[in-house]
This record gives sequence, C-alpha cells and structure tokens, in this order.
Amino acid sequence: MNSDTLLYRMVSPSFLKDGIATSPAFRPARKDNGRLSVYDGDQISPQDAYEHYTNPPPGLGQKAVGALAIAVAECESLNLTVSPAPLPGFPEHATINFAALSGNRVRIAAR
Amino acid sequence: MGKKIAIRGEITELDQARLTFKMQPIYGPNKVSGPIPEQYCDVFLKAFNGDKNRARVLIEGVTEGEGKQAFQDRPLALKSVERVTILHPLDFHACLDEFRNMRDGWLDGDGTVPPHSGLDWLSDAFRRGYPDDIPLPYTSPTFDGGVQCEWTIGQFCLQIEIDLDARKAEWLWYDKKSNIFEDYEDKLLNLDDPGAWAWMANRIRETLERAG
Repeated sequence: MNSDTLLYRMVSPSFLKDGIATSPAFRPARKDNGRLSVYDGDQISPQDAYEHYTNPPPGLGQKAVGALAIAVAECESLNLTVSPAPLPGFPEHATINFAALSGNRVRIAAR
Repeated sequence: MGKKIAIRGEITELDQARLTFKMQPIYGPNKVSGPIPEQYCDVFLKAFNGDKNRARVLIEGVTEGEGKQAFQDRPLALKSVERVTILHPLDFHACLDEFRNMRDGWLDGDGTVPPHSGLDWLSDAFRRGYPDDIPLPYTSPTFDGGVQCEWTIGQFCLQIEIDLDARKAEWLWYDKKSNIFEDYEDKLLNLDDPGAWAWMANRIRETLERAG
C-alpha cells in the first residue's frame, strides 16, 4: 500500500441520492471505534470487492449500490491514517482511522 | 365513501387506452391503481418515462371503499385522482418515506432505523419551516437513527444532523477553500422553533450569495 493506492468503500443504497453518495457513507459507525472499513485496491479490483461485499457467505451478504474509490494520499491530506487490517478470509480489509478527529471534524473529513 | 390519501411513488404501468395507471409507492401498500384524469395525461406520461429515469410522483386522490387492500397482492384502488405532481429528485418527504422501509442492521449489520414517529414529526416540521426559495438538501439516514441533511454550495458545505428524539439538530458550515468551519455543538437548533428554521434558511441564503 502506498499513497497512490485506491481504497474502495461500498455505498449503502440509503446513502445514494439523485446519483450522488452522501457523506455518511464515509463516516465510521459507532461499532467501528473511529475506523472506517475499506478494501485495499492493491489487492482486489472494485468489481471483486463489490461481489465480496454483496454476495452471500463466504461473502459478507450486505447491500450496496456500488463502490467509491479514495486514494490513500487524499486520506493523508485530511490527517487520516490508513492501515491494512486483514481479517480471516478477508485479507484485503483495511481501515481509515478517524479516531484522532473530534465530532465535527469527522463530518468534515467524511464530506 | 372514500378516504382521501396522498402517496408518493413511481408509475409502473400506464394504459393509455383505458386511462388507468398502477403505481409502486415508496412506502405503504404494495401497489396503487386508479384512473388518469384527462387533464393529467401529460404529467403521467412524463413521469412514466421508460424504465430508467422514472420520476417519482405525489398522487392525491380518493380511495374506493375505506382505502384498505382486499388482498395483499391486489393494488389499493383509487376511485379518483385529484392531483398528480412530479417530485424533485431530492424531494424531502420522499426521502423520509424511503427511510420508513429500513430495518435495524441496515448498515454492515449495524445501524438503527429512524423511528416512524420521528419521521412524521420531521416531515411536518420541514413542511412548516423550510422555504421554497432555497435548494433542497441531500438527505440520508445516520447509523444511530437520525437524519442528516447536507447542501454543497460552491466551495461551502452545510450540514445539519437531526436527533429525532430530541427534535434538535447540530449545525455545521464549512468552507473547503479556507478550511474555516463554524458549528453549534453547544447551541443545538431546536427544530420545534420556527426561528431555528428561519435562521438556517438565512444562513443558506447568505452562503448562496457568497458563492455567487
């Protein structure tokens, strides 16, 4: 993973409005402890990532309307650190760490 | 006797010979059917624009009988349509209707659904407080059962995050170019107060002027 690496974030149908992904799609949920789950684009294509996310087990069986890419460099420019976070059967898992930001800074960074 | 209803959704079938339609509501009965008044033929045709880019409509009409579906697989029948309106793609009330279909765990197995009572309140408050002369927001659910509205106006981002139980909102205004932001975390907007809606509308108008 380097600054040019693309990270793929799956977009829930609830976050797509008039063809635009809204910013909550890029905010970590409570259970994520400030870490937003993404796919490491050096290890998986956006199509394969989408299929892994939406297909039933061994996929994750979640709903998504597509994948959006963000470069590691863009995260770094927002003072967000990106780390590989491989999980069993999911080696491409990575996280963007929002934990150092205060409440509204999280909203701004997600935007 | 019929019952007056207003329902939002997509026209899924149109019979120009019989002047009838079927509609898929965003939330509510699984189908609605009814007659097309001649003066609204063009509106129905415009809304029923192929399989893609189908516009959502608001249909106001009167049901046959008491407005109950005889069977789950039968459409709710309207005996008359009083008005049909093509909705803006960001129509606020249509967005709230979408959220009524959500189930707990909607986001990666987590995610609380916004309470229906809160959505009813917000729909009414928005109708009363949000003026027509400013752009509609992009509206999304938040993972803890709230609603977020956001506006992008040139270099400026504006957001409110609404707590449906408290009926209050956190305001955020952000200038992407200068990295300056203002917020009111300590001074939440009370959305039961018309003054809060007026204040917000004025901030949006001021931002529109600044953005040119």
